[in-house]
Amino acid sequence: MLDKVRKIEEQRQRYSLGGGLDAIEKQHQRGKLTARERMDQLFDPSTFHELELWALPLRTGFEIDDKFSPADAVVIGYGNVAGRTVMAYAQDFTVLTGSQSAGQINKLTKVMETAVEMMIPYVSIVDSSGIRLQDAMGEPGPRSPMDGAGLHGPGSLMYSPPWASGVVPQIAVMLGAQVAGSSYSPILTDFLIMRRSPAVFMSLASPPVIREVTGVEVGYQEIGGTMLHAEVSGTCDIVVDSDEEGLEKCRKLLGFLPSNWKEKPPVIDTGDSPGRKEEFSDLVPIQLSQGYDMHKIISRIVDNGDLLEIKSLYAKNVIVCFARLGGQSVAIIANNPQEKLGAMDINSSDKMARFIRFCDAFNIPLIFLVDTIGYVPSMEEERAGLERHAAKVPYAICEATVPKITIYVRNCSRWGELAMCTGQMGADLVLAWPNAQIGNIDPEVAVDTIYAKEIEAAINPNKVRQERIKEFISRYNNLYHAGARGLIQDIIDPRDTRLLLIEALGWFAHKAKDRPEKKHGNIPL
Amino acid sequence: MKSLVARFNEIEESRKFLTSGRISEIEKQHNKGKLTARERIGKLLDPGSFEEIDLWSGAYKTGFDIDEMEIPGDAVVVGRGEVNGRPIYLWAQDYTIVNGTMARIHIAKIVRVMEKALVERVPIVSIYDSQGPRIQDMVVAHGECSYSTMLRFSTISSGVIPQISLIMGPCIGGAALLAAISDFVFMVRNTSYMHVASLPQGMSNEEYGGSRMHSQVSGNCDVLAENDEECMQDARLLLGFLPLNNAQLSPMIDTQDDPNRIDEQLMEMVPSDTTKWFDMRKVVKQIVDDGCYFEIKRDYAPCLSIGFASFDGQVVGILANNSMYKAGCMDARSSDKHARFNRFCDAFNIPLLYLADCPGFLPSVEEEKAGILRHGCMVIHAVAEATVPKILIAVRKLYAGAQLAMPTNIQKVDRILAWASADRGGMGAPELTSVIYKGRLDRAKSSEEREKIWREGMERMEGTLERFRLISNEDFIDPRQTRRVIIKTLRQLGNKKIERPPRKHENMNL
Repeated sequence: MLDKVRKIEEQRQRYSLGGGLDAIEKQHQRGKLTARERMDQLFDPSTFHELELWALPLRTGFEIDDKFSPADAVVIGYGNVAGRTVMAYAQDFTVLTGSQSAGQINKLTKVMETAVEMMIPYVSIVDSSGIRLQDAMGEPGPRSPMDGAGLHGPGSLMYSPPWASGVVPQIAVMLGAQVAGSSYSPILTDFLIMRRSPAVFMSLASPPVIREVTGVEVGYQEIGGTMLHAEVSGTCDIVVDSDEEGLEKCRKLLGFLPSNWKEKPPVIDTGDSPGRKEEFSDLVPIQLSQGYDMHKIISRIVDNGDLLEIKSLYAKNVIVCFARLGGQSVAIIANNPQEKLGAMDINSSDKMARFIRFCDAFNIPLIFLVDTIGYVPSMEEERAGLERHAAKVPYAICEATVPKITIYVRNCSRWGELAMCTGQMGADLVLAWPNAQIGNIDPEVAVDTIYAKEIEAAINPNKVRQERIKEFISRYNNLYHAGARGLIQDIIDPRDTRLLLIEALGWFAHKAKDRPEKKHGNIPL
Repeated sequence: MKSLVARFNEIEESRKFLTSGRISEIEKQHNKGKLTARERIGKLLDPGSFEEIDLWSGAYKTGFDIDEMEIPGDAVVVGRGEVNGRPIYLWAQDYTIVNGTMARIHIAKIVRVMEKALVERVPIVSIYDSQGPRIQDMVVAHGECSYSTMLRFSTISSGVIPQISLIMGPCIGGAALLAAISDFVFMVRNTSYMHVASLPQGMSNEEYGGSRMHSQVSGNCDVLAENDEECMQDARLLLGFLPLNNAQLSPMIDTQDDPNRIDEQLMEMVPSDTTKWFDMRKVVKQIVDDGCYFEIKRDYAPCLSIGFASFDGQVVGILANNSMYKAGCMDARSSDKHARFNRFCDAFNIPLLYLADCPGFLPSVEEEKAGILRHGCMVIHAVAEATVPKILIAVRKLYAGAQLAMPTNIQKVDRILAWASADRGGMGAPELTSVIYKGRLDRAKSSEEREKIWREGMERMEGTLERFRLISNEDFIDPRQTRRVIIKTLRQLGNKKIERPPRKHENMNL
């Protein structure tokens, strides 16, 4: 018996080396960790347990059958992240360049489907050259590795992520390259972390294909590099510079999330005093035409100034991030007046709506910090379908049943209120800082409409107009009037913001709101 | 005390006065080529079925001069009625009264019918024709009577009852967001425009947010009508395809068309040379009942045609690649179009029929930068998530990523029915040979040996591809009998049920 155990351990050692010592050395030379090293970084020390190490590829009838390809080029298993169980797969680039066979895809989809059954998050660590053609075209006949036709797996890479969507958190960490169809499955997850590296890119068409079809010469990074996806296409959520950082960020992100849609996020002791008072007057200029960095405001409010920003390089006119208040996970959605004075556009709408919907699906309260000039006219935006994109935001907000708190920090004009959460969109608490402007109507437009007759009839129309404008501003464009109209519930001293938010999260802790039964809504796309 | 008859007569007098409108304003409306709110309702509903509610609610007082004006119904007509004998709720803004501007009572009336439609689970039709908020009222309006409230009701109703917006005049600011949340947006040529951001200087409303722009370029408009009458006809047609709510099935469409009809023409319609294009909509019209195909977003991303039709009376949603445009490739725009339609049909229990002739997603630098991957994921999500019957007719090309947009086994499509012209796959034999046999080719000692390996590889790859063509489709059908097969298949799939794990909602790419 013991002898057998020893032999098994020897074999385990052999299998665990993946493509062998030389291949591991090569992987390290590329500045990359191996799949199993990555698992060790992702999980709490010695909690990772690999399963199906013994899986080998199906016969193909080609030369690659002669190679020893342990685990079919992917490592899967359970482990703990900050003490909570998480599943993960990591493609092993040292084995047949991590390529996807029917067998590998069967393992990947098993992770996805098992995570749903166990109601725990799963992490995809992606490092693969794509479909293994020898397998796709292998014996006894062709098999489509995408649908696991060779093995009839429970799902597929295109079926299982939508199956899990909104049930358990799904996170992908991209540490290698992906081209064509294989790129889709990391993007189908909730969050995509990408490493900035010449070896990491992701695109639908490869540069040779683009050259062949359109005649345009283009590099891999230009159409699929991490920075393109982070800044231009809006596909990447978090940019990192190393394997270690990517997996650390993934751990941090998981820390804000519940294990599944039925649970609440974990509460941890951050050591920050709820009653801590901060000064904000130095940060927010009174002049509406002056921008400022909203990050600083958020940092002063949340526990230890610690936040995890999502899509920080895309649509910078809005900030979306996770943070903690009194140890509880919250999601913050804030206009950033530093960028276009916090104007709303298509990209910011897509970014906000997706984040809000994720947080609602996983019971994370939403806090809105408002300072925006709203929708700014632009033919280009209009041509790209501004309305259907912009409408995703009020949709996502109204759909959300988690606690929602809105703070009007300064400006809110040109329909900007409809992209942040008003009381009538279901905000549970609506607060204003003393300099906030909410519900204000352009006094000149208003006076020209309301007093048109009087101004026309006046001997000195301009004088009357100016007087009326002054009167209008003092009578209507102020916070007391906003309070009278029910647009805000209280005006607060900014220094009390932190404490009040923490108290309010307590008030709303048992919030339960139902929606009419439906398969799903029909959010504008 | 007045008698009951006298009181009733008084009320009818008052009704007549309030609904007759001001002649000069009505003329102005007609001169613009527009019908009035009440005329539109008359054309939309079955004759005599309209029941107006809240007619006597006039505008609230504001304290400004405007209080002296008569504003009957606060510039909006709301109520219920029937379309082909089936109930709907509706509201129509009345431009002949203070330019249809929106005020407290106006909004409260709209919210009331929104709520009734949701509670009674019947569709709602919104007719937009308003110059925006009435400033005198909005200055003093309570937040509860606001655009936010309308947005909230519309969102809650989404996926529960069909919501149709008819833009028949101005639709600006918050109203444009409200229209965009609804399931279908109709616009009328020349007389309607829609924009959330204000009009840039030096531009006309038509250029900036006109029906042409929204139906061809922005993708905000689903159906473009030539005039008010046509708009109402189209809205009636569309309603005829839809169930009243998400717990029901679509009504059966009246048809005498032969379910066993053999379409000889189909043999000629599709060129077997895959580099030649053809109009897939002709194939669609050939196989559906009475050639009746209600196309949605006809002029936007036409490389994919979508719309409603029926087979032996049963309504289906059709998604068909059209090689007339961009060779039938999917791109970011057609992905948005695909995903939203697919999700609507799934939400309302309408089976999906895919007619495939697609070489894949469009390879280009612009598309990559526009986030084609993220948009493609919307399609993949929508298709995978759909639990209604899904039938794929493989007409011609179905290469690479096309197999994700036009679902195959990867996304558990229920049937893959192929014409003999169907072609599946990703790479060709030479590409496959050069990759798979690379090691052996590199090691070849002479060009003769290399040549021999290459021939061996090509032969095997061609054989495998040929087998792939056969086994990747469940079966081949006689194209002439496509209609008959679809009708039979829809019947087979009538009891389909998939239980997905419970969740609040999904988190698809946006």
